[in-house]
Amino acid sequence: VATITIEGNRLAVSFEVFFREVEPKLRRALVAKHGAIRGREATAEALSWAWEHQDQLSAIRNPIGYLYRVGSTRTRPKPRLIPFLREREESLAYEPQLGLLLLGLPQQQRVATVLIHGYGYTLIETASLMGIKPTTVQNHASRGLEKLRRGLGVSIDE
Amino acid sequence: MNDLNKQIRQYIDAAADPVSIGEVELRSQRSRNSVSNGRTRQLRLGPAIVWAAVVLLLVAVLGLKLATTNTPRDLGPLGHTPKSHVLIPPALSEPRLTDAELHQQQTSLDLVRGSQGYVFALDTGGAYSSTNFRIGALHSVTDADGYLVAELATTDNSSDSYSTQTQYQAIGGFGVSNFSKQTAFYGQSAVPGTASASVSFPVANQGSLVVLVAIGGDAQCETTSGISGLTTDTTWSRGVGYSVLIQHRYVEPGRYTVTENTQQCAPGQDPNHAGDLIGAFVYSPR
Repeated sequence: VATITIEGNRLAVSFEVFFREVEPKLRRALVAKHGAIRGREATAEALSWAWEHQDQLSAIRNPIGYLYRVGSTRTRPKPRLIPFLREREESLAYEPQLGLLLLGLPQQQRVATVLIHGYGYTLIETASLMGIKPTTVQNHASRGLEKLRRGLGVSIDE
Repeated sequence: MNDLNKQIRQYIDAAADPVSIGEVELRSQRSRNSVSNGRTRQLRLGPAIVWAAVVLLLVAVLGLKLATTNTPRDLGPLGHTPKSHVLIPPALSEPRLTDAELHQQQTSLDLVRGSQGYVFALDTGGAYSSTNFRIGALHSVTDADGYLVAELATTDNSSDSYSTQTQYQAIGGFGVSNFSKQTAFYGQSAVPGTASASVSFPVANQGSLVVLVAIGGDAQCETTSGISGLTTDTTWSRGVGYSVLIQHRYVEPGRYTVTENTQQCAPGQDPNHAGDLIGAFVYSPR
């Protein structure tokens, strides 16, 4: 198992530990940004890049933000695929129109809403991943959530 | 977390399976092989560059054909020209590990849903009775006192559980997707104070994934030998707890023998409660 160093807190961790910490965040963000198929592909591509360039990764101040951009640039959109098409049909308790409403949000609003409200990530965490200011993330997340609520006809948190 | 937030999380989680470290390794290997063979990453090029390359290639082929119209072609001994080299790498078709977990002092486990197959492992202290796993094709080891101390369950269900009266216990498991066939091989030993178990198995197909699950029943210290370069997905080395070692590797066709070596590391343990079980799960590609 290779060893890398995360700049900032100067914590030396194994790639495996790094992988386990970063993979869920990266996948959620990239699936929110690009949809299920390209999002997963982008996650795998970004982590492959990380595996191949562990020496470079140690010098990057914000590895997860960097990998978020690597995932997007190393994959191409597939025009005929619907971005939020789910590969698995499971009887989970979603509002039926949730996918379409998420798809209808602008990309940055969608990512911010999913990470902040779906997963409870902090503004700073999300901002560093997306490469934008925390205040901008806050605006995107609250506008996105408001649109989802309006679309679903929900007025009060329950 | 309110209901809408929970729904967003569930929706995104269900949209895509987690990426496993094995898949990342495989992609990296492919990428390195591609570069070492002198091939560039055609699929990474922008569409404009790809189209330009195709047009240039067509022009070159047409030009060559015009220039050699009146020249007899050398068709080779079989009377046909060789096929052109395939530039596009094959699609990712190998089996992949989707999840691997180990939990101490738990008797139920929910793995990431949506995988094609699952294997669950239990490890108990062996001093008192335990039930078998609720679901799955079972392979069990009972210790010298007749108590269940290690078990493997193979199933297509993402959850499994058992119950036990022992003071210490653990549960582990993994999920695999994208395989055409799963073959399981087991090795076990339950003599008092046992310290090893071996399993021998063949691998027939290129690109097969081997996942090893080594359970040292009532044992905390554990290693495996026989296949080099295994990636360790779960183990335990922090304080009180049992090691259920889950490791994997993509292997070449051949015959392999893997041995697990275990030790009851805590002082005062009863050798009659030791029991080793190792499972080798071979997943053939599609």
